[in-house]
Amino acid sequence: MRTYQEGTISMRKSWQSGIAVVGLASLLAGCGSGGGTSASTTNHGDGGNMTAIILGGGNYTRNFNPLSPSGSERGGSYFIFEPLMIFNGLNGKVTPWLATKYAWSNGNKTLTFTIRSGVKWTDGQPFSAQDVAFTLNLLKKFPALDGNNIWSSLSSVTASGNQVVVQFKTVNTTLLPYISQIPIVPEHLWKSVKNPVTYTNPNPVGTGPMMLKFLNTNEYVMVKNPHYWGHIGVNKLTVLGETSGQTADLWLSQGKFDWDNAFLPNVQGTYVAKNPTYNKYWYPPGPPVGLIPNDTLYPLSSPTFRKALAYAIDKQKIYKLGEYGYEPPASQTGLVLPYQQKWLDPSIASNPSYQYNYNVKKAEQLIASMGLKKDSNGYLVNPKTGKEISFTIQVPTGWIDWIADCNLIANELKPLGIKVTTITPAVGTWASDMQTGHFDLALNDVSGGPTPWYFYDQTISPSGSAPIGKTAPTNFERYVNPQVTTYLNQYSSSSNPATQLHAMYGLEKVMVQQLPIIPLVNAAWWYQYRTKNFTGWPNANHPYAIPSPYSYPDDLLVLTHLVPVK
Amino acid sequence: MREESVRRISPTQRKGETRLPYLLRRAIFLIATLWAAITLNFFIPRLMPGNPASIIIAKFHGRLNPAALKALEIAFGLHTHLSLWAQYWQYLGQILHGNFGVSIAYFPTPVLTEIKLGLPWTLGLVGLSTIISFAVGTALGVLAAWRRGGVFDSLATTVFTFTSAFPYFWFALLVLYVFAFHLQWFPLAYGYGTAMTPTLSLSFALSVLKHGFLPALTIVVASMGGWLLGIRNNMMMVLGEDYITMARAKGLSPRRVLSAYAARNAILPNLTSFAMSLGFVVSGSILTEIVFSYPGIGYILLNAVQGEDYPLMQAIFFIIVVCVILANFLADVLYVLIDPRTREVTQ
Repeated sequence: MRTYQEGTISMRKSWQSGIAVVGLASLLAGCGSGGGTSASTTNHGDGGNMTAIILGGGNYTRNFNPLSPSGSERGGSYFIFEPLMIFNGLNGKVTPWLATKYAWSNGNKTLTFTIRSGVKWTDGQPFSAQDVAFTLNLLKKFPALDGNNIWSSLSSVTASGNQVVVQFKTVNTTLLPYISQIPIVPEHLWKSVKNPVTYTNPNPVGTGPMMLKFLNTNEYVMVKNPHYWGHIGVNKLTVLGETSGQTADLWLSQGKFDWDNAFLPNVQGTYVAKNPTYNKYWYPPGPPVGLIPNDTLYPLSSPTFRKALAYAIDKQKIYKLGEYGYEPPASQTGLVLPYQQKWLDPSIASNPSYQYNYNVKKAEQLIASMGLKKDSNGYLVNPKTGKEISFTIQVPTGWIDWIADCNLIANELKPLGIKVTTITPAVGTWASDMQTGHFDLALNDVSGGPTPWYFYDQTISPSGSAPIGKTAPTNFERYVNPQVTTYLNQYSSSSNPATQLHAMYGLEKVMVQQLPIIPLVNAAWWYQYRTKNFTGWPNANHPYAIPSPYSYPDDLLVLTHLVPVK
Repeated sequence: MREESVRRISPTQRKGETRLPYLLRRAIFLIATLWAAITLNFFIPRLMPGNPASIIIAKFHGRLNPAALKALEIAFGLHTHLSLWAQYWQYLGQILHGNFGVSIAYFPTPVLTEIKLGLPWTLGLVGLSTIISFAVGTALGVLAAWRRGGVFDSLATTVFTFTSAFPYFWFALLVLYVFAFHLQWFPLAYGYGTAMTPTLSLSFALSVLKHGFLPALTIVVASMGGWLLGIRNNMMMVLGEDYITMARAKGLSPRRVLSAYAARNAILPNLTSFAMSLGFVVSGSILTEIVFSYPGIGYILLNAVQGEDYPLMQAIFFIIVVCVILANFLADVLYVLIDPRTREVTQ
């Protein structure tokens, strides 16, 4: 099944439906004559025509509401409706889009966007600052559309001339990327929409590079917007709907897709080897997958104990065995390296005791320093209760790579005298157990954003915590440290890079000294591409965007960078 | 997946029961079952841990700001202040009006729109292949039993014992790999060709046939064995009965003994199973639809379950329940028509 290949989940989902994926992939690997190579005997491209898989498709209906909180045709909506600016997800570099620039003023309480001129909606009407103000205000009127909860900090949004002025009631500069990435909709058409939350927008009119041409349940076809304000080299884009994992993988190996986000256990053998000239892949690191301890439970509540865990887990093994060599070990700082290198405190980078490389001796010493002793069974005893220390580690059922990771962790902690049992509840139970704090250890992948601030805000912010039994929105480990709040606020109330950098260094220190959570490996962004019809793809040498076709708004950067092969 | 239950209603059993006509009693039973199913359908998803909004956040793996939780809950109407009891009455009312709400996985598409997309494909594919499989399987089974011990019997029994023991998933994958990928005789996915819109044209019909052939083939091959072996075994029993010997002794033609005496009696239990399996047709053949990426109800149901899409799941379960209950009822009616013994008692 390749349903819902959101984010880095594609891998788990392919796994969920199973074994079949592996079975067929290995069949293919063994079969040298596998189909598809015939299509590539000619040396010229397909005249700017492109075929891609974008997540969450299948059983397509005309549903192109870019503001809707979920929905199956969103991928295509993002090539029709455009944001103000794009902060790419790899390193946070800003690319102006419908806005040509932004400026903070009034002690960071006023944000002013200058809107691009000469842009037209595909129905011929001119695009203006009014449309931007209308869209942002629509999110206020319908909180269900306000996925990033921006209106909790805003007081008003108004348009004047070619400017849009956003007034804040509380200073929060970290909302800039969220505000910038809201897809702008035309006021002249949307003002008469009664309920924009459930509106399916069957005939989308946008400013973007592509227009909807055709749709049936299997696929939809988008063609180039002839009046696009920017550059677009793609003439036609066919988005194929969801198929079972095996079929999509077979098609991929036949060379049917120019752009895809499949998880293949052996991408070299099942894809690249089929046509090494054209078939390429690049899996840049995404936000870390972390071991989330329940920091309210002794001994997980002790930073010394958590340090021992960090030393005792061999992240290389998780990378190589659990994650098929696709997801490299993560930094304890939580930073996605190398792309967020500029935020890394050099004094942390150069300090060997902050690296937490695999070291069982060190782990044993730390545990001994806490005065914990093993009983006759070889398990540590909790001096407070007199019982053996034993944890469960939770991971959703069917997420096979994560389950393998958990089993590796359990095996590595056993010699230390820590009994760990992997349990695999349904995804809903796993999510609600973490939210309510009814867990010992869990695996979770934590959020990211254009800068590491978003990762910290969404993992260790005390405001995201809650007492055990109550729902914590983000801080599942329930690590509460007022210092974190101070640093987070320092960053979010400033627009000065030096102040922000200083705050970030402080947060990194907390991560390496207190280990509220233990990042294990960086999730991979799945991405396969073919250079037969198009060049200009992002890759390791040219890392200008998160390359996966589902990674809004980065996908817009990718699409507009492509050059058809003549 | 076929129901193998054999239900024989012995006349003596029913004599002591209430005097209500048989079919009326079945109808009352039908309505009670329907109500129970609707009620269960309402409560079960609400007893499960987690809610769709938090699952969507979890599945987005950090691409959604956790702040979106609130927005999603508002959009999905999870922030309801109604009591469970009030929600239940609301649900009953909506069902009566055919309003199944808005899908969560395909938000904001109404549930009915999604079901209408999938239902024709499932009815066409699974319905037709079930009928073909039953008809051919039964005919072959009758033949095999008539010439029991012959070449055809031993061959058919062996082959179909083998095919009905296939793990279906494996078999379907193999067929897909060989005929669609390797030989490329048939398409790999979908119910009809890409770049086509469903119309009443020859090219569309051909496309549908081409896309439906492999999935139908796998269903027929996998399920025919069951029908064949079932009817064959029933026939064996019936052929041992005295009235068959009697019919033969009367000098009736073998053909007449076969059709009017043996097969007519042997088919009764199989007919019940057939009616039941027709009821289950609407649930689609989940594995078939997954392997062949066929756009039917089974595929939609799988997505709904994975996305914890309560409204869509509930609607699909509702339709399945209604169809199964109706099919059961139909089987009861058929029984009365075919088996004279049941008629004598009720009159």
